[in-house]
Amino acid sequence: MRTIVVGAGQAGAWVARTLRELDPHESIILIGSETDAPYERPLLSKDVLVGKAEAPPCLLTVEQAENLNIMMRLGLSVLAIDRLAKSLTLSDGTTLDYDRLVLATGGRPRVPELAGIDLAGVHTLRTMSDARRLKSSLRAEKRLLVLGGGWIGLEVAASARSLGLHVTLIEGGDRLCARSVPHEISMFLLERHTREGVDVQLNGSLISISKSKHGKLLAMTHQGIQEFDSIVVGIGLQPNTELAKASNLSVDNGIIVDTYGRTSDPSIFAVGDVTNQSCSWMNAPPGTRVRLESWANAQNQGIGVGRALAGLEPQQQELPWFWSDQYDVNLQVLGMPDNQALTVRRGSQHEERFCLFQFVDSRLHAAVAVNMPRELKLAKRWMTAGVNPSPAELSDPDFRIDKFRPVTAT
Amino acid sequence: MTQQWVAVATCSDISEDDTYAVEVDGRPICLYNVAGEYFATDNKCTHGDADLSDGLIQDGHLIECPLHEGTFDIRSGKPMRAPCVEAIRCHKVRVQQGVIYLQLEN
Repeated sequence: MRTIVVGAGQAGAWVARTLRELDPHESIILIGSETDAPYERPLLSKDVLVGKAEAPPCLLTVEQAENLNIMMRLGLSVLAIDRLAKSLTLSDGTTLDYDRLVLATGGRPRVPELAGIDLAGVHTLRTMSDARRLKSSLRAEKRLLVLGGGWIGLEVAASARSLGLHVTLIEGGDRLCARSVPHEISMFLLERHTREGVDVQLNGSLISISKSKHGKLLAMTHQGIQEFDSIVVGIGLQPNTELAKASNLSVDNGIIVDTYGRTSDPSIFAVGDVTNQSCSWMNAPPGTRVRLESWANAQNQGIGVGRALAGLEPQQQELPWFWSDQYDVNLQVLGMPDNQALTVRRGSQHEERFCLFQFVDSRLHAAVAVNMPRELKLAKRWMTAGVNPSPAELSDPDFRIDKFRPVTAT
Repeated sequence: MTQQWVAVATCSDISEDDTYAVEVDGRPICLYNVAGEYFATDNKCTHGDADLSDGLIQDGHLIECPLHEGTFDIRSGKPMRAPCVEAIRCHKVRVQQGVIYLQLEN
């Protein structure tokens, strides 16, 4: 049997590695459009940009792939799927037959349609080569515009400040990271970035970009013309669903998959940022679906699909979880925060060490931790066990949360 | 060359199922109390830039990295859960009269 994995990012690499571990005989081909071997993306906006790391951690080197008998083909993309013939057409003009196909095609940065967006000096950040290009333009005293107050935008802003650039950040909404954190955390992030010298402009807009005689980028904005050396656009991810759509697989904000990672074609699986999956973690809202763009999901769903391909049952889906590092702030988010939920705080916002715990019907629903990773891991344990301390206990500084032992009801 | 035994902590420093960070010869070490038995490993996770002493002990003998949720077997250093694939170095520990001594492994 032959399994072809299309997409050699984190999710695709974990599928290939897991399947090989469980099945020594399967023929495995991993196809990636980037020329770099699979790597973890989180450090691109941080250590790689500021020069603390040359490259992010590699998940499957060319040598490891050879040793594992995984045929890795990089710098190659898939143009079409023939589902009847079970065959792929590749960008080098060749075709490849598959028994099982895995789409791990990820996403690409969303780019607004506006004049001047294609000018040199306007960047997005998704890949290692994006990071290399952006890094070479980040020099102290230069002026950088970050468009978008989400995680990528904030991390790039923090990295650029640490390199001594003047940073302006324009966010279209009225608060930072509005889609993924409660109000208080948006306020905390705004305060911290402002204190670090980032000129954060909320409710702002970028209308067009042009080039001045001196080679500067002139941004027409809600505040008139502002002048920059570089612009980074970080306004979200567009899932790469074209191949799936052209093959008539079910697609709705991502490729629709079941708990095994199967698409509407039983021979085709999908994994990672590109998938739209049902929420089946402990106490997940019933009947809901989600498309997750996190490191943890890419890894865990990748392992899950590798197991499914080897004939194993899916493991319990993990709670959504991600982190962001900005300055000396490690922020972690567990579950799906909800602005309507009852929220209690633990720790000190002033000292930048605190957690927010959110409750729905006295059940812990989500948690956000700033420089308190251990508390977040405890929260994950409680939520997974379905038992948690009360809001009163969690807001009591004398309550030893590390000694709380879930007494399972069943 | 065999390393010296060095006193690094007292038993009362580490409650049961908990971790404790120390430095030995400038090397960050994590001590563990697993049901009354003491163990030691390097403190820096082999995957990311995180201190295992900030993590939680799971299932009795696994330490979970507080950043990326990989785990190691505290007793052997073996990586047990993704993303960790490289073992964490273990160090020998012995207890005498309530004092924990450690011998660094190179």
